[in-house]
Order: sequence, then structure tokens, then C-alpha cells
Amino acid sequence: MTEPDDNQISRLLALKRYERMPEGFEDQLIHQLHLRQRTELMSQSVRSMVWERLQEYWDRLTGPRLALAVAGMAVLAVVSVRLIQISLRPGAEPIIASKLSDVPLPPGFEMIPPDLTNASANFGSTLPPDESLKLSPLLLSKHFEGSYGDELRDSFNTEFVGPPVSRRFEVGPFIKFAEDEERGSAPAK
Amino acid sequence: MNDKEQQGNGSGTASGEEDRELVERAQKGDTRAFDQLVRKYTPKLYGLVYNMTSNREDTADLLQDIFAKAYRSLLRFLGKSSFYTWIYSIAVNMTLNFLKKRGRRVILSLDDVDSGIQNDPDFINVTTGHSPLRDVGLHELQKRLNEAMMKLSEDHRTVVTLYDIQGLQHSDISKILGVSEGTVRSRLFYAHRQLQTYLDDFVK
Repeated sequence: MTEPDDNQISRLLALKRYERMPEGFEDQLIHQLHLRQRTELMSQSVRSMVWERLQEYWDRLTGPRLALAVAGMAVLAVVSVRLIQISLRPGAEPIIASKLSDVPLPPGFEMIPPDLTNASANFGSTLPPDESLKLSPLLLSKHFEGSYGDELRDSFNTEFVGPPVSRRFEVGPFIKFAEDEERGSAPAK
Repeated sequence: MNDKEQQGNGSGTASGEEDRELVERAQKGDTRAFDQLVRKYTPKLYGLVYNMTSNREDTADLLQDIFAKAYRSLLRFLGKSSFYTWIYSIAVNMTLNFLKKRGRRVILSLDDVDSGIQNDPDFINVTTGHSPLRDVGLHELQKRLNEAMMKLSEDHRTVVTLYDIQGLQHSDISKILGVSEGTVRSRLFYAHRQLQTYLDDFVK
């Protein structure tokens, strides 16, 4: 294509610049735009009003409960974090488990601290002879004398032996025993 | 580049300063400032949209959409480009989208023509001078030009409208379309070649 042809086409097309928009087009366009802007503004305000109402309704519905739950969670979180921080501090004592010495004893009882002198040497050794005597009623050797080892013994009459603990709670003999007692008879052996 | 006087685009000029001031006022909520911008750019954008659609009703509807969109987006306009480039970009994009939706359903409608055309040497040349169609009427010429334009692809029609009819420079067209100047020149070359074929009897 040659340059003059290009110019000819351009000059021909340039004649379209004489084309004009209709009379009063600008005013009409601006009027239409104002109407449109007003409509858009109205629809926006209606939308925002509906949204505001919805938000208000939702706040009223869930606000207090939600706030309470959130506050509770927040307090719980703060306390948990604080406890973890304290327990992780070096040399810190356990918080939950209290010392044995802090536990109040019933009246008449006294806490005797264990004798730990030469504890390692005594570890695994047998009990002193007097202690083993106190445990004699429960010794296993009683089994070989015809009892179970868990019989109740009368502290005054050492010959009396009650029914074994393991049997006293059985349903049958216990009921019979109670009936016998009502009748004033001696307990069945 | 043809020898036509290129129109100022308003960027970096007194017109550009005026635009900036009007835009700032409009951004602050001064609707009259925006009306002034509408009045200023309506003739230019009308020409752009009309020459791309060749239909007056479509042009009127599109211009409403274009200015409404510009108004909505005005707060996002940061002034990195001139208002002129910005509003032209909106107009071109919206018109191209409209044309894609419209497809080939075209009803040509002719605009009024300024009486000044009768004194234009090119018009005299075409209608009475060396042209073989020396008796061609004004409306016939309009119709032929519009039909030829509508035969071009949308991209080619856009550059022809912006360069040959609106008188914009290659650099401004490249900013508006977001393509390189080379692409603009290439599209112009192919568009002119096609128009040469369609308007053969006018340019012989």
C-alpha cells in the first residue's frame, strides 16, 4: 500500500468528524444520569437500611449470650495461661497437689515423720519382731489352722472367732444370722 | 503519520489541569463538577461510541452506562493517568463488551452532519472533484463510510475511530487500549488496507 492511498482513506474518514450528536443531547444525558444516580442512591439506602435492621436483630438475639460466652472463654484462657506460666517457672511447686503435712489430722493423731537414717540399709529388711507379733492374727499360717486369716477376733476372748469378713457380706448367711438374732438365739456358727 | 492536526488530549495541558480540579471536586461530592466533566467529554465520547456502533440509540444508552460507571469508580481514580485517558478506556472497554453481546445484529442510523462539511476540501473533492462518484450525496457517503467501518473487526474499528476520526496520537491510543504503539500502527495499517478495498471507488 502506498502512502497517498493511506492519506486518502484517512481524509475520507476524517469527514465523519462533521457528524454531530442530536440537539440537546448533553442536557438530556445529564438529566438521565441524575435520575439514575438518585435511583442508585435510593436502592443503596434501602439495602443499607435492611442490612442495619438485620444486624440490629441479630445483635439483640445473640448479643448478651454471645458476650457472656466470649467473656467466659476469655477468663478461662487467661487463667489457663497464667497457671501454665506459673507451673513452668523453674523451682515451682506443684499447685494442685497439696503437701501431706498440710492435710489436717483428726484429733488425737500425730504425724510422725519417717526415720530415714540409714534408710538404704534397712530397705527390704524384715519388720522388727514386736511388729510381726501384732500382725499374727492375719498371718497366712492361720489358713493352715482351718480359718481364712480374716476372721474377727474378740480382743478379750481370744478363743472367739467371728465369721470371716469375706463371708459376712454374703446374702444367705447374713439374713439367717439376723433372723436368729431377733429370736434371741445364739448366732449360727 | 498523516498530516492532519492532532487534537490535544487534555493530558499535561491546561485542559488536563482543569480536569484534575474537576475530578477532585467531584470526588469530594460536588456533583456539578462531575456534570461539567460530562458536558466536556460527551461530544468526544459520543463520536467514539457512535463510530464504533453506528447506531444512535445504542450510543445514547452506552454513554449513560459509561458516565454512570465513571461516577461510581471516581473515588478509585488516583490520577496516575489523565482523566481523558481513563474515561476513554472505560468507554472503549464498555463499547467493545457491548459489541460482543450485540453480535452481528446491526441497525445503521445516520447522525446529523454539520453544515461545515460542505466547505471541506476533502468533501468537495469526493463529491464534485476528481471522484468518479461526483454526484454522490452526503447521506450516501455517510452510509458507505459507516458500512465500511462495520465490516472491520472491532479492534481495527477502534483504532480507526480513535486515529482517523477522533484524531488521537498513536501514543494516546496505546495508553487507552493498553497495547504497544507498534500494535496500534499495525492495526491501523491492516484496517486501512481493508477500507481501501471497501471504499475503492472513493479513493481512486
